[in-house]
Amino acid sequence: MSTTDRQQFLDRLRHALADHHGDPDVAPLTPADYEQARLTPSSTTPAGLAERFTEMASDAGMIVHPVASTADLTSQLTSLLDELSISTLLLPHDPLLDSLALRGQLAQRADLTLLDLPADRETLTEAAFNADAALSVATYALAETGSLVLTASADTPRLLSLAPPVHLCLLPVSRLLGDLLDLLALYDASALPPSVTLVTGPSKTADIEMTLVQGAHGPIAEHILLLSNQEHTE
Amino acid sequence: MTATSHNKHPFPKAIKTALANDYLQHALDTYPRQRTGRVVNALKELPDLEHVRQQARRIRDYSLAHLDTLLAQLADNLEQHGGHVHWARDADHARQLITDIAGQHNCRLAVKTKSMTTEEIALTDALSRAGLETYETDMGELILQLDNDHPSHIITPMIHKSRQQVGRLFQQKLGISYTDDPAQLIGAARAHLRDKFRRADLGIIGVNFAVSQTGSLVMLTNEGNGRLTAARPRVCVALMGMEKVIPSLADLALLLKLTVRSAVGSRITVYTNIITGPARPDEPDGPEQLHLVILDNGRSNILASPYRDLLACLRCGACLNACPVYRKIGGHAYGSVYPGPIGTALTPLLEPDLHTTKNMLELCSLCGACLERCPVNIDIPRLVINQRRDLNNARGNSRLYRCGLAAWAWAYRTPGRYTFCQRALRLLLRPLARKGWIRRLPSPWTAVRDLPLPAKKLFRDLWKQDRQKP
Repeated sequence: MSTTDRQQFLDRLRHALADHHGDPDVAPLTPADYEQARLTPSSTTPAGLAERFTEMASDAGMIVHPVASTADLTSQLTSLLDELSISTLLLPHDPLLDSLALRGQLAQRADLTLLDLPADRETLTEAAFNADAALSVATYALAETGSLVLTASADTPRLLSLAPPVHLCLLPVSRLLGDLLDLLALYDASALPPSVTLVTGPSKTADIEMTLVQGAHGPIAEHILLLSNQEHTE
Repeated sequence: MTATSHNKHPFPKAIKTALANDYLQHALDTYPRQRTGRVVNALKELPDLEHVRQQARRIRDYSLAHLDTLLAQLADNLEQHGGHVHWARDADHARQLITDIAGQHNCRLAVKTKSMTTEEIALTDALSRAGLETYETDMGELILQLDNDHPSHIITPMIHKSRQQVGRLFQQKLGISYTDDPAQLIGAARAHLRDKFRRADLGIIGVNFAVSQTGSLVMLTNEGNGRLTAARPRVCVALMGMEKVIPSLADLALLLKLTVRSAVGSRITVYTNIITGPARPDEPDGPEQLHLVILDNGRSNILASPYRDLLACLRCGACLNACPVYRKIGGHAYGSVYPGPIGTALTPLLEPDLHTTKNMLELCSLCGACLERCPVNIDIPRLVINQRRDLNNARGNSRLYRCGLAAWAWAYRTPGRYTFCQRALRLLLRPLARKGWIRRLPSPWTAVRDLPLPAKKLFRDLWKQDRQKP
């Protein structure tokens, strides 16, 4: 049935296109045309990217914490957990997190429960909707807009960075990209993972009298731990 | 198609009601202008705005000219990723397809995002009739659903409602104590919907762009409801108008920069979701089933017509905010799913009905403000004039009307005849005028307007006089 629907649908389009007169053939855009829309020069230095990212992310309402070393990461993270009164934290398995040995250090805190991510849908939903916060690792980040690029996988489900009210995200500076054009070019050749999300700020709405309210359906707060030290780059 | 299409939309009455609504007038006077200010500032960040607009338009023109191949490629790629693609010729067909999918997978509770295309096919009602508990999850749309109301703007659907109205509504429907603080109201709505998200087994999403080369669906939201709708339920249905397809991710990058700035005045939305197939088998969340429904519903007729440019529209809503008519009468007065300039030009083509067409096309003053703001340079005023011409050619005009036009053509042919008529008209109308204005003529024209008496001294007389001065 669906095959006939498709055939009929596309035939109707072919006839419509054949019936239309007037326009000359439109040429597709060239690489130079896309470059006209570039907002972050390709020549931007890593320091320049980090600076622009911090400015744009802050402008979008995210809080960026520059982190200098592994020891600094632990201390910043623990004070953040205290400050936000977080008692349950979802912690995924991720090569970077494992290499930083964060799990062991956080596990020593008496007032914090670390939650592993359940592998089945229902338990995961309950855990994600009830946790105070989640810690995740950004796949990339975008200096142009101050966006985190988050990719879903078996170890990092979609709800991780979405359902808990607070999202903490580790971002090594080496994962910073300049422009949206650069990010989407990475995916051009290979297949995309099923879910890639650019996150730029805590969820928000201005539906009531155009008054901006932070915290709609997604996280109410977004904290980024920006790891500048080279030892964090794998 | 719309709530009012079965009984004819009463245009004059709806307009008078809108003009008499003080809150609406305040909102329309304030918010669209505010939004436009932000949009203009955000667009200044683009190095060469005019060039980017032209490139964006080229992407859209190219996509429309190759719509058959791009849609086939999109479907092939999405199917290869494990998605299912359905082809809906009209609104009925789309509703049937979607309720069938819900039935096949035993879905009971649906959450849905804001999408003009779902409004176009009145999907929420259809799902409810099919026995599904269905919740709008966009904050504005949720409020409208609780109040049995309809959106009046493409981007800010409840621009016509005050915080006090929302407060009373939530007091009544959600059982909270009255407040008119937006933050508290949003908090209450968040709490109300979290449980629905947790239990939902069907997610309905709209599509802002579909990328044919990768088989990706792109959905933009600020609230996170779109992300939850596409992440939580085990079945996800995406509905898109067939014109939303573009070739590549590079096209997406360029269009995102322009569209988001034009729509809301930000660099990017909080969530830019790129969905390429259902969840993989080892993933613990995300949709097990991803269905894409591609909708024609009159669009292929527009594709073949001289009005194809309208399909280049990205639904950013910038034209609404710019339009002086929209900013007086608001969205509901149009009586259509798509209000404002884009609605004026599009509705008569989507719903070819004489009453609607005739009245809709009158709602444009041809001022051109929409064209100036449109990110893809759609010449809506030109397309409205052409449709008025079509309408005029199609309807058999009365003898009186034709005589009138013939007389006008005669009078307009030489300057002498024109001047003579101006002077004659003044003499003819003078007995009817009071203080230079004619308030009533045996014509509907004066029902809402006063006609000034032609001046004693014509502009050309003043001009000559002025030129003779040293």
